[in-house]
Amino acid sequence: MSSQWNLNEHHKRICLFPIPRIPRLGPRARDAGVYISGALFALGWWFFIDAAIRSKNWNYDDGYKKTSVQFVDWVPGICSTLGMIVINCIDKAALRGDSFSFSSGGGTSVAWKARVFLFVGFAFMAGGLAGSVSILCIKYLISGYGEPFVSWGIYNVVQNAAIMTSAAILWVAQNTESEYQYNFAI
Amino acid sequence: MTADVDTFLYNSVIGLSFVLALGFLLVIMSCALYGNWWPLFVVATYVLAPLPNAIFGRCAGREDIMSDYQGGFADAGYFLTGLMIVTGFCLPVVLAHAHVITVPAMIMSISGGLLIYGTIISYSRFFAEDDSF
Repeated sequence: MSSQWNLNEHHKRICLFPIPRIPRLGPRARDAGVYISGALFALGWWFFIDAAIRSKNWNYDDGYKKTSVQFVDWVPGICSTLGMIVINCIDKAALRGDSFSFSSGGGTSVAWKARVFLFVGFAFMAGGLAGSVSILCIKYLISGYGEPFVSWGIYNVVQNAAIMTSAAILWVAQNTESEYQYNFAI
Repeated sequence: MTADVDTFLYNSVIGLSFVLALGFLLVIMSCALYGNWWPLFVVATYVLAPLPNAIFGRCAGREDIMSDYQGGFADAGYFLTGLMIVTGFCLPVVLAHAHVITVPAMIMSISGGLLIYGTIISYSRFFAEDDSF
């Protein structure tokens, strides 16, 4: 229990409440996590592609107000994907570079740069999700379009949520990176 | 003892090839019965799905102990494989949703693709175990 909740005093923590650490997965669960992450990524993009295709060959003759999937709808997904690429390009070891902080060692600036990149990546992903929600509200809900059009906005939100979940699963899975290396190093 | 193992091997290989042929038959029927050949792309995705796994697994150097293991390559392979599998599922669904193919064609191509992919997976699993023994 103490390992999960960080209660030993060797580990300095900032927050008053003990924050649970990210769980360490076994190698099997790690591989499965990466598979699931890829699957979720593809699922999200296919949701959006489905909406785009249906909007492209929608028959507008039956009295609906006109709207379609335009470039604006593509932007949140592109932002999320860019953020996911940025996050996963970071070497995870560089993030833990300065466990002894406030020293002007060589590793500090690298860790600082890595954390800036991580922040930019997560900002891109959160911006993508927020942008998809705002497109759903502004473009589809407020304008009062009918049912099939609102579903395109909802698919957009689903896409970005799926990409964000995929990035989170990939992050958790890759945090247990050193297990296999450790086995072979011994 | 070895004869038993051999007959088991032969039977499983014959069964797997039978299942593979059945999968291809289902996909081709889903194209041919309705006269449009869009579902044939499903075969491409399922055939391509194990490929990044193999390539990146070799890049990661899991086989030889001397070279240092690089998990990033293997992860990229897993990621692309998962992406391909879901693409194989979603492509017929999206095609059917866009009224390009009919729903029975979608069902047939998905089940055919599953049979093909299952055959590839079990075949590679089988031979991997065969190598290690």
